Amino acid sequence: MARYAMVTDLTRCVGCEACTAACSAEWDVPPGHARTRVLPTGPVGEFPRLRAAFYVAQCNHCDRPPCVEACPSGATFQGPDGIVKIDPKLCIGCGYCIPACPYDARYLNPVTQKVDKCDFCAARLERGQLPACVTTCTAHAKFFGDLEDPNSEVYRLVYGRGAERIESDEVKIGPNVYYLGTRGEPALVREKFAPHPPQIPSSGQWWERVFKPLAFLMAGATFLGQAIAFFTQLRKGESQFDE
Amino acid sequence: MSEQATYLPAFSERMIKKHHVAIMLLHWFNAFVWLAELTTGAALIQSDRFRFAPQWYVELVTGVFGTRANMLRFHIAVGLTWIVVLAVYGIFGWRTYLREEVLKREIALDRDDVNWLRIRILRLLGRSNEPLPPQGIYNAGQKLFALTVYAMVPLIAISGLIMAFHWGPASVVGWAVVVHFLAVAVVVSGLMIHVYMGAVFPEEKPAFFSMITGMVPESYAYRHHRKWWEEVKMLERKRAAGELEEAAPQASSRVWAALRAREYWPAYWAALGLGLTLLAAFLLVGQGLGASGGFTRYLAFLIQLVAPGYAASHPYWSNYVQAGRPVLMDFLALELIGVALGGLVSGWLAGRLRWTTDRGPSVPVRARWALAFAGGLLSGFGARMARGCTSGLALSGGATLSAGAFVFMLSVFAAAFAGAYLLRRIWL
Amino acid sequence: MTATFPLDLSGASFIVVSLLLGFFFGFFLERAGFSSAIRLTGQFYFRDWSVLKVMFGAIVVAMLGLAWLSLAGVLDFGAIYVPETYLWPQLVGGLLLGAGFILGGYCPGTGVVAAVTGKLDALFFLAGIFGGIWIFGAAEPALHEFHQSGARGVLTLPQVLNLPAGVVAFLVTLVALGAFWVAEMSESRWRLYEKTYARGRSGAPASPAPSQDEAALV
Repeated sequence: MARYAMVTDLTRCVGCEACTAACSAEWDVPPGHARTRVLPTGPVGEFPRLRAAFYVAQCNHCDRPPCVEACPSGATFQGPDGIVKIDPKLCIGCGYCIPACPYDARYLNPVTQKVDKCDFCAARLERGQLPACVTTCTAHAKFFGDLEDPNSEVYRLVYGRGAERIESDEVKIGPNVYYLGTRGEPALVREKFAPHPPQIPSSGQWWERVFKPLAFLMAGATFLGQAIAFFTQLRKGESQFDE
Repeated sequence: MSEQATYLPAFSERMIKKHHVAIMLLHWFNAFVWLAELTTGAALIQSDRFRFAPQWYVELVTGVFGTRANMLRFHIAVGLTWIVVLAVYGIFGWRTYLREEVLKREIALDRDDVNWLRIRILRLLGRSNEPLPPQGIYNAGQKLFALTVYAMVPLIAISGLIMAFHWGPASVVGWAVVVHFLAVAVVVSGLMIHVYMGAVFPEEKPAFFSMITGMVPESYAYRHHRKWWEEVKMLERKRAAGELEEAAPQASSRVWAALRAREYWPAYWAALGLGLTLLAAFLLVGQGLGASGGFTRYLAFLIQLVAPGYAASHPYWSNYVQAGRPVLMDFLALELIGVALGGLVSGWLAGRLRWTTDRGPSVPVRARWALAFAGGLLSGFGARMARGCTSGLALSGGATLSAGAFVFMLSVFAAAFAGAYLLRRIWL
Repeated sequence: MTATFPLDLSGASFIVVSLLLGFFFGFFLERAGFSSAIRLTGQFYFRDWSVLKVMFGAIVVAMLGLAWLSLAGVLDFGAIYVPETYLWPQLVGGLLLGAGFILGGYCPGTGVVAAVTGKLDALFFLAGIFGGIWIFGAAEPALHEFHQSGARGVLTLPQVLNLPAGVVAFLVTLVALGAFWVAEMSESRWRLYEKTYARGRSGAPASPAPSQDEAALV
């Protein structure tokens, strides 16, 4: 099975946002939202030693995705090829997965009322095409391929030229989008846009910490009471109702 | 049984009525819904954080439905049916059922009930030998369960609707998930006792059978529901003495009476029912009702069975016989089975099932059969020519304002009126 | 906002829903008395107008429901199947079905309901339907040109009349109400006639107990 990965060459990216436009057109993303965004780090350092980079943010299709665990309906799942997808037929729009993503790659589509994000253009892959952002990138900064295929471009870029993951000390969940830089651009991005630990909305926290234990306690208590009743009855016979 | 006779020799096995048939139907409908919804609901919760059921169970149930999306659709469809049925019961039974039965007898706890609960628990634990206080038609445990259920059902229904139809922003849907799970967990806790009492606990066997027959033995009523038994006795005495006026028919029994009426329903009531069914068909499957299309499917199925090559190559039958799509996996073909069942049940309820031949006064039976066959030939041919019959084209097409449907309707009535004059000897 | 309906069912839920819809269809047909050929054909002798009343009534209820729900955005009317218009075959097919109706006493849907309630003639009618469909299917290649003639695609009354759908729905409702009025008038006349001249004549439909006025006239 393939293990898909994407590499963005930050030395080439000019921040034109053609990838965002192509992606939004391909997937009917409503205005104000995006599956992939271009975030400038802004100038860092002191004149004349200023540095800057564009962070091309998207779903990282992590090896241990916290969003899959956060989804109560099973709409978010990871396929055997590593791509994390959302089944819109199952999504109820509860939004638990949105703060769960350390990279903030998810949004709630206000038109469909369902959560949406990058899926490496899975439908295009099935047709044998590359993701829309890769084919559109004006600076040829994006590469897509199979990390298990030693002949692929991404294999060469990741294992040969040392493309890096955007991880932080707390969040190491195996992202599969890599960034290439010659003058420390990935480090700059890590500094400016460090992934945050997965969060749960307050309703989910209440469920996890209070209500779920309560529900089990309640069901357990009635079950126990019933068991006591059953054994008392076995021991005493059916004389319970005699007066 | 002999045991009862030993300590309650005064009572024969006389049965007294406990449940109205509408309540029994509702009970078993509820039982089916809970079974279906808990089975699928437990399998729908997928992620490790939320799941109660083991992974193999999730996979097993998902396998039955093919895909998780199908399972979710089933869950929602059953849930919606449940909400509609409960709403209909609530609206039509508001006065006689909700206000009189539920509020006064099913959930109102009195002093006896509180004592009963205390003593019942102590006795179960072997800490007391006090006699149990007398109980009404429902004992305190049943009342407590009913109270819980009536409190939780609206929560389950509303949170389910919010999740199914994305009513509100993500935070609202997120809370709906929690409310749905929690309310179900509360009911399930009570349901365990309810099912145990009904299905396992030997002393409550009559309660279980009363949900099938509606009757309980008088000895059981005397021992378990003394206050209710006294009410029944009082009523019987009054009725015998002629003091009691016959009560006006209750709403639920009016519905029952309409179902059992030997006369046909007024045309407008049938029209309303048929219209709502048609509307439901548009909403649920995106097409109207039909009949001749279903016949064609079955015929195509038979032809395919006998001569698959002919069916696949024939320019007309090949429209129906397509590879990878079962001929009968079609709305109209399935619906036709339902039509037969619905007609059968309706006729059975009204006592109209009888082998007869409908004919005019001057037509012999065999001639009528021949005429019916000839009429069928013409109808079948005409329906296929027009691509639909009175149901599929005139009714369903008429409701969608299809121009062809109105042309068809006019020509059906024109031909039938003209034919009626020519063939008046058949029917008059 | 995407509309909630129509649902896109498949698998078990599709089967259950199809059966249930059919169940209620058959149930209400039987309740209306459409398992009786006498009652059905009574329409064409102006004795019993329930065919017209039930059919128009159901059309109006479903039509208004569809109109309101699509107005409210709950229903996507574009996804609803609207029978296509083929002018000539529908005209001729209607004439044939109408003739078959008066000859056989049933139409396909009512024939099923009649058969399951024990009408032997309806069994013959159903056999005839299968025969008729078979003949048509076998002959369709020869009739193909006619079967396709007058094709207008999905054509609706609002398009033909060049009026908004709401106005057409309102007009159809008015026509239906007028038809109900005619039906009630005609039925009361028939009951009066039956009471006065034709009492006890066999083949007459079961009529409800006479009202005070009618009884006084006898």
